[in-house]
Amino acid sequence: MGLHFQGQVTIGAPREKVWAFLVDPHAISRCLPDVQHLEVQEEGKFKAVVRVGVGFIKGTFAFDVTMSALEPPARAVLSGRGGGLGSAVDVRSTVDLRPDGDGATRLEWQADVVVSGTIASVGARVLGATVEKKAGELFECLKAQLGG
Amino acid sequence: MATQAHGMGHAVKRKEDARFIRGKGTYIDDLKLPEMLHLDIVRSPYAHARIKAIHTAKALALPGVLAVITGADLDKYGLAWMPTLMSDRQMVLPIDTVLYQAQEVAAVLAADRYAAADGVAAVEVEYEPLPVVVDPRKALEPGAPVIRQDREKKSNHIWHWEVGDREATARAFREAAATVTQDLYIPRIHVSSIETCGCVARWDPVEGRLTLWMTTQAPHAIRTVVALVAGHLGLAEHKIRVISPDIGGGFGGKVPVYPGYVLAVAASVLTGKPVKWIEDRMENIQADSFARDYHITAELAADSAGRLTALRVRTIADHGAFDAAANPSKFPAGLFSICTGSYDFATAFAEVDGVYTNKPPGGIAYRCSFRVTEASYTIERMVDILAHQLGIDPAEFRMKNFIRPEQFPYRSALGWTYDSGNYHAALRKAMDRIGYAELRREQAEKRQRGELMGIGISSFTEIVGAGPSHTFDILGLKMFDSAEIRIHPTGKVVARFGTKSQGQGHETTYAQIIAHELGIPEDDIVVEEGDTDTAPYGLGTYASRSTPTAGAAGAVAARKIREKARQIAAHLLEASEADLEWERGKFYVRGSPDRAKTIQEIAFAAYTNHPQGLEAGLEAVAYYDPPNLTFPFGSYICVVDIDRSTGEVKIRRFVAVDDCGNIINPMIVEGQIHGGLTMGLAPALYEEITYDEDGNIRGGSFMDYLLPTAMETPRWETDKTTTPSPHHPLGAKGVGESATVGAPAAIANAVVDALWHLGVRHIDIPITPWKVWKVLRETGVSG
Repeated sequence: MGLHFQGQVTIGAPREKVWAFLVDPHAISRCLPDVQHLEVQEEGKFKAVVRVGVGFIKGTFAFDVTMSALEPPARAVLSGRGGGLGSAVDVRSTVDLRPDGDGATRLEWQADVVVSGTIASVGARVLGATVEKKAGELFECLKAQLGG
Repeated sequence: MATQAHGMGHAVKRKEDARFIRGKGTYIDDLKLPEMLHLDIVRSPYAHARIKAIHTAKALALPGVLAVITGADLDKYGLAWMPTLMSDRQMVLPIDTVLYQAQEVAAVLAADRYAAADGVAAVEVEYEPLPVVVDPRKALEPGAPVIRQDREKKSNHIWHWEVGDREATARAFREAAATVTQDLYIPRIHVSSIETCGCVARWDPVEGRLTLWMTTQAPHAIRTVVALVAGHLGLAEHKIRVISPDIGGGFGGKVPVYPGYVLAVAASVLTGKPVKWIEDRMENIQADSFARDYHITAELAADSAGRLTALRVRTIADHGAFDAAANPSKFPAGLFSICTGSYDFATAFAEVDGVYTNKPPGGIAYRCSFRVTEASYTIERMVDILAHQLGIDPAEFRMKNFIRPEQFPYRSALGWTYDSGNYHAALRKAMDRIGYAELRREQAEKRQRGELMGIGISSFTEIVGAGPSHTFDILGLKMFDSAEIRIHPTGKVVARFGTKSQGQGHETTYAQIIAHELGIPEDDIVVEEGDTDTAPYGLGTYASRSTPTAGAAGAVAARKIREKARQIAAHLLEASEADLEWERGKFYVRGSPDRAKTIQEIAFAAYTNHPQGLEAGLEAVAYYDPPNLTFPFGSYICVVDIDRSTGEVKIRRFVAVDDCGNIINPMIVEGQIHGGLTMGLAPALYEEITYDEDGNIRGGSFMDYLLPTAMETPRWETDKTTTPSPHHPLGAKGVGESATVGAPAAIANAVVDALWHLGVRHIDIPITPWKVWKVLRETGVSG
């Protein structure tokens, strides 16, 4: 099943600072919800083990993530493929950063997520809400880490 | 001694319940053998994908994990594929491509169940997703991805099957005064037996012998199939023993061979240790054989007097990725040609096309004879639609068009010979019992007030007891069945049958048949089934065939014993055989009732004082090849009230009048009908497995797949008429599945009857509150 999410958030930090945070796996992983283990491979590529809970399905997913800096410091693309719990997840997410006056940054994001397997079949009804909640946590964390 | 021989027609308490109600049954998962290993299965999250790599190192590093088996491993032994019952083949494990979600990808063998599950989670599979087709109509379009690249035919079309007179039917439609056409989708559902599937395989490397304890409805056929499939590996049929222990429900789902069984056998041969494989609930629903999934377009024609003249049905049958239906070999669409039902048609034509999709394989029965619910639902819905369209009461329309009692044995337009029936009597009884005329008056009044009430009828004809050997076989094995009766010197009996009870109560009903024929008390008879080393060969229990085939064999074997007993009695009484009369349980000399020998005295003499020239002992075997199928029938009437604001359908009353011929045990028959009605309610209002466009299963757990419980089940009112089968030795017909076949149409007809005046002609099952609510919104009834 394919899902599309999007959202925006204003962060009280200049664009370069937000950008640097986003493309640094060690930094961004502090804000990725439920990361249990992170292994940075080469620049822009990392492996993450994430705790997942959708409905009554709980366990861990292993993700291969690639962060491509398309247009520094304006646009980045994060793509990942992962699996676990009899499921597979493909994510392609775009993040756009725009200066928003007074040293703030406007972050607009959208993500296309294709989910297969147990989570798609059993968790379909709660999947959307779960992902939106986790995305919210991610950006709240960004705001907190970068100064509100 | 309190025991006596009851025989046919008595509500004898079920002998097997002594252990079942105490929790002392022995099911597969109760079996624990020394050194037993556990197998669990890695399954595909994708509905269609290429397997790029399977990484097993992490799994193998876990404590307790002994091996990971892949398709490549099996391929070395020629075991990556297995034959299906329908001239197709199915992957045991894929070598490079998976074709449906939850398909088996690899197997993990471990020292305990937990280690096996941990191992499954640690196996890493790299997939490359491929285009998915879940709709069989799209699968037939040009340019659709070809799912089965292993086949020569590069198309998703499997087979075309047709029956009847196409030209005559077309002519009848041209000449008809009234016709009706309707698309009907009968969704994919799952039997969901309480016990899932599983097995314990034990290979004895010293004796070269395989013992396979297995949840199977057909142990003998399984043994033969194993011998044929694995013969090249040295597994010969005399070295294979299949044991089917107590089974917690089958309903057709335990007829096929699943990859897990094959993997457990292979793993046991590999390790020389017993291997257990037990599915969990989600694996059972997601990967085991489905039922139905028929996309039907049906047409009916009638003359100006409201008499039916012709039926035409075109069906697209979704078989998933392999044609693994469990049908007799010559019947790719099962017995769908019973679709003329209880009505006298001059001509009819039916055609079915089987199609591959990226969905699990199957095409099993869901507690009905092969595809009979699909057929019965179709004709009963269509008759109702046409009756409404013509403005004739649906009961009156049925009465006018039923096959008349004097027409039996009746040759149907699609080639069956119905053995016996009295459809008018069954419907009349149901109408009297429910107060049909009064209900119609009530409905008219309520309609004035805007209340939604419907009355639905289903007057179904079943076709069970497969089957006569000239037509019915499975992989060439003729569909007779068998019984072996041994009377011990003290008159106690062990009787073995080629069938296998999954809850039907064979230990009781078969004992009653023998008690009826020989006068030996049921308590003195032990019935055994399911062990291929001891039971005579038979094709198993499904399609309501046990009483029509093995039950008949039991009666025939008992009669053989009675004839030998007559010879022994004549010897003991010093009388001529011709002068002996049989009264249940004893022979006596005609005119001298005091000069008698009981069957127990005769049994003792068979071992202690048998006449010279006659073999000692008292036993017989019978293989019964039925001359025809049997055709149970019934009329069901359902009354529903529909909530205008929520769309909820409430079944107020449901009267079921069944006719299964002569009844062996009325209590068991009633129980079968109650269970069957609930399993008929299930697809009518609740159960359905759907897929999203990527082939993800919707309805793959009991969170989403709605089994009705006692809370949803209405009070069933049952009654009967009795029209014996003229060809069955006991006049019996079989009843296990009648109610499952008959009930869905009665419920659907009742709902549409409640809404017809609003312009509603049809709602596909399951009729959920959401579907009804949408209809009520569209028609402006619900704000």
